[in-house]
Amino acid sequence: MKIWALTKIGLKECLRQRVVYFIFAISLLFVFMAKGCDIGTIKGENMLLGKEARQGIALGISFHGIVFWSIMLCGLLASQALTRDMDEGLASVTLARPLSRDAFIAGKLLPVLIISALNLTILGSLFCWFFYSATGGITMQLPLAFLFMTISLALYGLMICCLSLFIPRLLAPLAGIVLYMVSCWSSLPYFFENLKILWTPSETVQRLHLLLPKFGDLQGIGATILSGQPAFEIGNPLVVLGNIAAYACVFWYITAWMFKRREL
Amino acid sequence: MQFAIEAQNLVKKYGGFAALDDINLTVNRGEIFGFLGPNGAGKSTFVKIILNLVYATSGNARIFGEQVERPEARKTVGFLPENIRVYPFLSIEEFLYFHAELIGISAQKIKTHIDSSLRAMALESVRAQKIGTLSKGMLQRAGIAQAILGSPELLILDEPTSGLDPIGFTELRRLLLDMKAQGTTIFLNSHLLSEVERTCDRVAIINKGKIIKSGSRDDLSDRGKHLEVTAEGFTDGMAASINSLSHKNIEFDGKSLRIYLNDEKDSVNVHRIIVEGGGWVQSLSWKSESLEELFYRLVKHEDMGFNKDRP
Repeated sequence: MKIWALTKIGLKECLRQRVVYFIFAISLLFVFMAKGCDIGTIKGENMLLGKEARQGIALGISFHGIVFWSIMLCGLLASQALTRDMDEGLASVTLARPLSRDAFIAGKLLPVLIISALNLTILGSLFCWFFYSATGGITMQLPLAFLFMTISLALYGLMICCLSLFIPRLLAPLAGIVLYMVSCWSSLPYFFENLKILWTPSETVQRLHLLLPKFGDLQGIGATILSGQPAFEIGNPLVVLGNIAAYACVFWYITAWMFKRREL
Repeated sequence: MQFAIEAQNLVKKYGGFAALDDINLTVNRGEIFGFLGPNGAGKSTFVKIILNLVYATSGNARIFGEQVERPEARKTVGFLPENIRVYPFLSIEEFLYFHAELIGISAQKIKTHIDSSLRAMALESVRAQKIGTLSKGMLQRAGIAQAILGSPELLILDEPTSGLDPIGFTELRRLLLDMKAQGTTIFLNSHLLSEVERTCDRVAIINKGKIIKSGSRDDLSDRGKHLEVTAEGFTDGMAASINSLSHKNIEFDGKSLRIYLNDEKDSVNVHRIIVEGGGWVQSLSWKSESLEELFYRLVKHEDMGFNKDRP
């Protein structure tokens, strides 16, 4: 009940921020792009790329665009979840109540995850509606792909919340996106067979891929599910989920440990 | 006896600076306790340690016997911070609802408690108004309404009169006395000494992180009892003679003489010394020190490095 009380306030707080609507609007452009690129609407011929290839590219860009901006939104909201309340003196009134600091973190983080997941769900549904209505039917591929991205969002939100306790809160999403990109980059050779012909991952890349949170693998799995193409070296999804779960625990404990040390 | 607040050897250091230096303090159940001190004395740090918002370097603190580190210790505590910050987009009613949920008041009783708090602070007519649009005084009222929500057993108020108008002062005083009558313990951090004097049963004065005086209000006034003499022709010789009496301090401002005596009988001797020395006593009376005077004297002398063990 106490966590839910905080969550309700947090939801209101998040929904009052213009950045939520701004990012939603940007993401919508990617959805419209997908609509404009379904096979039925593609006009003209291209000698290099057939209609299906062009549709595939548009689909990929749209999907990754939506995911990227959802990640950005989640990061921006998560970076303020704890630090804003601490800096503005709001946390001291709340924590003077019989509320543990763990519950406070959960209550502040949940609305961020709910809003980010809701944003992704709405965009994903529109994507599904626009794109697949034209092609005849909606398969389970799309919701499943977005479900994987929701897991990625949850971990990303937790990571940014954790980072915001160590570095200035405005820098946390920036640092987070760099980490996210490095993770995606180190995952690339494992998802694109053609790429591996040109790029054999060095030991460093392999190590990074092994040690970093597997944001890239999650995104790769999502894209793989979406395209219906088997991943080149997807490996065991349980390993990816295990990595995500382990990192979620690590980020949670560091956040809780750091926040409990903070004086208000 | 289980105290409402109990602090033992509480020390809080920020680097080399001791914000609190070996504080030992108990607040009895059902009393109004005034905690006084100049700016930066350590009052708010003490309160924050009690509420587990700041951690003590050493020592321990309890609320109703429960260690302050446990959230359960704050189950029956209402708190008003010095400068309350609230989510500005909430209405007063939503703000109170939020706190009622945090306290753990059951859904059926929340409305009753909110209505009661709003009534006590005369906020019923503005219950739907957004916090961000409130004046400072109204915000303070909303903060107090939040603190008294759910009838807490311990109410901790940090500068509660800040921003309140005279009517607000009076209403708050009445409210505190009513709550005290119902058994609530009230811990009052305030600069407004006249208010503390009128409402508190016991008082502690803190300066530079140390408690320099504590006791009941009457006890403190008694110990500051002094002889006030207005005389003409007062000389150093007379001062030396009076010094030999059982007094502990003389204050002379050029016109009147303030003498702190241990023995009331010495007032006759003071009169005799002045008259025999050729002076003329215009008036001679016993006066009790107001809390404000006591506070000023103790803090001033402490700051000047005088012995704090004077009466």
